Amino acid sequence: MTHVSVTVGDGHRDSLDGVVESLRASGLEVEQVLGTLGIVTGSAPDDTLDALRGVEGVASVDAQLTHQLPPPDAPVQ
Amino acid sequence: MQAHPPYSAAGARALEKGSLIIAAAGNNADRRSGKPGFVGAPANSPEIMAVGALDQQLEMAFFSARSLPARGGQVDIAGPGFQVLSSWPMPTRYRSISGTSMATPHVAGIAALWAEETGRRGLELWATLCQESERLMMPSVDAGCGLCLAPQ
Repeated sequence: MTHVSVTVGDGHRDSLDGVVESLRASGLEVEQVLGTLGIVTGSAPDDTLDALRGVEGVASVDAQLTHQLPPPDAPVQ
Repeated sequence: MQAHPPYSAAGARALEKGSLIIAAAGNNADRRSGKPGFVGAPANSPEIMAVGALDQQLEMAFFSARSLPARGGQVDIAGPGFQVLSSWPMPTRYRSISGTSMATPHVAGIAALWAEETGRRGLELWATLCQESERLMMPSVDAGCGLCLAPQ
């Protein structure tokens, strides 16, 4: 499984619900639908990522980046 | 390092709605040993404002990342980010810490002051921050448009 952010293209931001349904049908376990941003987060088996990229209205499917803050006592934050 | 598409989309769509996202350029430089570092995500999205850190002499802090040649990987503006007096968990209360994470809230706060003063939002606010910044005698790849200044 990969944690992904799915970016919906500008042309489909008004019909986000339909895109989300198609993403679910293609294997995405949806975590959050960020309607204002047109981004859907979730996780999916690695072998379904290409199918997700093929869903109409999807601009890109990217593995989520991780961020690690330095320890609180580090001199540079 | 390529910009991350969802961060770029989020930055662009926030700007459309009048919100400006401001992020730390990153602390991966070590200028004392000639390592310039690079602007990290999400600040390397062109749609997100990247902030570098200055010290008390208005020189770049040694850790403050430099612009990359790639589109988006640039430092846009700079703020105070070296040994800044900050809040700290009890019972210590206060401590001086450094980082582009310290410079960034300075710029975000100044952006709020300009928004209040001018009513500008989004890209127009971005332009105002750059227009009103104090130019510094150093390359733009380090300090962007210079020292962010509040309305006087």
